[in-house]
Amino acid sequence: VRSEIVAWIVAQLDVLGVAGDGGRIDETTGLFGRGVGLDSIEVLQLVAAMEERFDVTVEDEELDPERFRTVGSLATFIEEKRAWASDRS
Amino acid sequence: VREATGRAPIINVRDLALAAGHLVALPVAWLVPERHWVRIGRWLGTTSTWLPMNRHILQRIREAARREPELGDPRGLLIEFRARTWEQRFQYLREWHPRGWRPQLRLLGEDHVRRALDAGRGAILWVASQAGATLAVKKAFHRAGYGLHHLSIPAHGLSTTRFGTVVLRPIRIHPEVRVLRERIEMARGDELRALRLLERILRENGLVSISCVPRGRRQVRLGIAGGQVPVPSGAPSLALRSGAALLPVFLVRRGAGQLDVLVEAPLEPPPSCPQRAAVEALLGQYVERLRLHVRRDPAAWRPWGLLEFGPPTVNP
Repeated sequence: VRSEIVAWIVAQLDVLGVAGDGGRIDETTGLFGRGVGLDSIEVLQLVAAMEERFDVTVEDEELDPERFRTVGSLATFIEEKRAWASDRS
Repeated sequence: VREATGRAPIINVRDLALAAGHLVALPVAWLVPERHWVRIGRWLGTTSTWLPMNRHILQRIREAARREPELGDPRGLLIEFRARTWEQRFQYLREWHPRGWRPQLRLLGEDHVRRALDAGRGAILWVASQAGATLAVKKAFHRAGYGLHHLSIPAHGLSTTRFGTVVLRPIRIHPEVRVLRERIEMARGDELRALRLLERILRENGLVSISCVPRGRRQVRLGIAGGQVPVPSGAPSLALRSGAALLPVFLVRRGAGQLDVLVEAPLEPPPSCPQRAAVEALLGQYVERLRLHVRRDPAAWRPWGLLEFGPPTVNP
């Protein structure tokens, strides 16, 4: 399941046009700065897409840049949100 | 809103210089008529050209003038630049006077704002980094009856120390807050929350102002004044995501206390274009307009010290 989440994140980066040409993106790839260099608005776009795709809600208090530091940290966050959502239901 | 005082130092040398500058400026701002402010600022600027910060700026201006001779005498431009910085300081301090600062402000291009709000997707005022613009633009919109939501940072261009936060910062913030509907503070680590709030405001057809200063996670270097400056991609990116109109705003100084706040036609994203390319296209359009204003009034332009002379990222 985690590999699917990572694949989904990579696909989203491609939609944003930041995945590069043939550049390898894995869990260690940074989302900011020297990584794929997302700006904050692009991160919010990722959050919106994530809410829609995984049927979760990201609260304002959860918008900690640390969660969006790398592809891996975002995948972990998505896993946590999904687990929490399934516990509730 | 998160406080920036966490582990910030208590005070630094820059704070002392800023505090001294404000102490010098206060009697001028309160006692001297506004028509004399620039002349006094020019004199104060002349006496401080030896400061390392000014020498750094002069070096940049010299190189720019070598490439674009119409900028004129570099030292003269530096002094005029400093004079306008002092004038802005006088404006803020006069605002604390019981009678306040009462400039003759004209809001030009307001139809662009009305049209954008009539479309129902909100508007972003992207305010150029020009001396005097920070307060004058907010006042002009307040007088015209608009409620501005302004994006700001805790230091507010002054200082991030505890002394700066408690003593210096209010000098600028209080006069601005009086004429804003809301001041949205974007502390480090808090950017996503602040930007999400701005998105909501724009979705509710609100009017947001953002200063075009090089902060934020992503900046693009644009060619101007013979060199390049970093320009943040946040405002164009936010406009594209929210569908809000992106309206460049410039300040045109007609004379002492006579200012035009000029709202220009919206920057138009190219049709069916990837977002990154669309942001760069908007930045390219913006810098073309900015160039005209910098040529017209180079002393008002604030980022001289940030000018670099390498290849630009975007060169429209």
